[in-house]
Amino acid sequence: MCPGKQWLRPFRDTDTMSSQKGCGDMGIILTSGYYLAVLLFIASYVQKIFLMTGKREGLFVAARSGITPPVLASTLVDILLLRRLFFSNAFLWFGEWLFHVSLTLVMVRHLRYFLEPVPSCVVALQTPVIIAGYLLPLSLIYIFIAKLVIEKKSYIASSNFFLLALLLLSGISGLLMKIWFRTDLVGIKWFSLGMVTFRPAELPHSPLFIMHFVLFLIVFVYLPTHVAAAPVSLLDARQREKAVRSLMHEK
Amino acid sequence: MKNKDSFTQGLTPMQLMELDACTLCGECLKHCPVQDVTGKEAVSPPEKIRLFREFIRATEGLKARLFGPREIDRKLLEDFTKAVYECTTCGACGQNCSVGIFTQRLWPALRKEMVRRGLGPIGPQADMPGAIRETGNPYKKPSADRYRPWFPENVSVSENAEIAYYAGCTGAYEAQPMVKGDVLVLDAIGRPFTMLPPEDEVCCGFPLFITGQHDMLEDLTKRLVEAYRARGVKTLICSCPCCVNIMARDWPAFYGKALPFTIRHITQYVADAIRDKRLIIRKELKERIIYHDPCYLSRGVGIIEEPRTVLRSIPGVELLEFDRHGVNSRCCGSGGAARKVFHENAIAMGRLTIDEAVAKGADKLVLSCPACYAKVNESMEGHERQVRIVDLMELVSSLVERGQI
Repeated sequence: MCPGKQWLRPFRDTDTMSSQKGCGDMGIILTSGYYLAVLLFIASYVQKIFLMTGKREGLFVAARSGITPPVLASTLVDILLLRRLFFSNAFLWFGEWLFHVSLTLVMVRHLRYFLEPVPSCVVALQTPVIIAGYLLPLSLIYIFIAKLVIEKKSYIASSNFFLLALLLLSGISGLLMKIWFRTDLVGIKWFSLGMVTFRPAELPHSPLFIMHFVLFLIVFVYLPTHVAAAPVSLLDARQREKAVRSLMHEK
Repeated sequence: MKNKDSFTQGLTPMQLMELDACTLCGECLKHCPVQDVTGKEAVSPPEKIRLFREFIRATEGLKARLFGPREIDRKLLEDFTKAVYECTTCGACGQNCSVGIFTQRLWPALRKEMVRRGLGPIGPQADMPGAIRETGNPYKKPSADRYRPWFPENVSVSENAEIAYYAGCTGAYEAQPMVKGDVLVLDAIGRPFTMLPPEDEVCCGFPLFITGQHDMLEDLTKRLVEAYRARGVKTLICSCPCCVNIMARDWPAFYGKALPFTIRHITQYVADAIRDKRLIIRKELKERIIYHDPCYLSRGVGIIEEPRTVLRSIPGVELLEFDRHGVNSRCCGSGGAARKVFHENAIAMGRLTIDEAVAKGADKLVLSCPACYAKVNESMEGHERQVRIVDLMELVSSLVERGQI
């Protein structure tokens, strides 16, 4: 344990940790960065809720049906299968769907670093999730090639590519830690658990992990707004679609 | 208004959600008719959304809340306004949007915000409220000429009837063969119908709605609804997709309650009459015809089958389809009140429609929207490819006779 960093209270007996110990300074920086990122994330969403519920003049009311089981079911299909993208661009859809599924699975796998004991469902998903870990960077490369080389898209959102690049680096660094540069997983778990339980623990010495974690923090801060808003707009689209007939046909 | 004041006052919470939902994937560009003819990135749907999100972030984002709003460059706002008004609001982007954004209503909402900030509308669009106040129509034409130049002499209109026909400003002043055809077909069906006197049949409000100038909408709606109600109207028929769209979608909101009558597009009424044998088309037409779906009719209110039912009832007709048809139809360029401002774009888009109709081997290009009718006819002038353009009811009226049944 690094001297002078009293608040970095060890979460466990440090003697049992790997012989490689990280410097406390970096641990403080990363832990603080994590709390700051979470704070920014929450604050930005709270601010958005205030913005959306604020007083406004918009009187336009779209004709929309109620949220019935069929509407919910079809919305779920839209969300889980990215159905609308499939009908627009099946070639790109393949990469995007693979990316979203593998990212979700990889995030599920990462729960084992934040939960103790690890839920059995997370353990049960181990094999498909490991495969997803390999598919994640591949799907991102597919998307890059599909958009830039094959389709030569006329509209390129730099923010999207920035995020995809971050995710690609994050995925690759994660894979490197799994395959070639094995990292002290127990140390990482203590560090992660310490962060979420407000009992900061020491950072394992692994430049690759530090890079992986910093990339995660940046992705977290720049998380695209559509992650939360798109499911709502997809539900609304289904409700509007169902209500169109009530406008001119069912009277 | 300062350039750091709120940008969200005219938007509904769902529209704010939709702005956030956009993934900036750019898939919609493949379906944008303005992109087809200009290729301008600034006019593209995701770029407009990206910029508007920037405006919101700068004025009402987390940083703005903590440290104060940021002033937005005036030139950037002016360029954005131009881009928002260059769009035809056809809604093809929304129809094909990966996250289902309702762009056919989002763009008018952004225009309304630009009007609120004193940046919109553009060019002659700004004269529309005054023209409507003065003459009842956005073209500043005398109300006395609303029906007179085209109304068939042998057709009589009832004072009071359960069926009413609303001609609409664009039909009455810019697509007269179309409204004449409407009246002739209604007459051939044989049920009495009423119309408001020309000075009372004012604008439905759509041109104002679509350009973001909402001040008069409530007044116009109430005037029209009350006038039809006083005549005992139960069904209001109109052939203009834009009028039908605002009547069905927005009039209840401006009226403050449910309308006392049903809105029907003329193709619905005629298709019903054909099905009930109240109208039989006996004359044969051995032609290949292609039907163009107006954006505000197909994507707007879901009327896709009825015009085809009418066309298929014509003996001898071979009905062709555009590659993009139904809810995926490509805008002919006349939508969104952009045709009088971005004339060259509209002509180029109209010519794409003509070119495809010719390439498909159509003898006639059938339209059912007065704005499409006016602009596609204009696009044909001086164009090397030619096809006979006809309105759907103009065509039907030429094949039926009064009292034929």
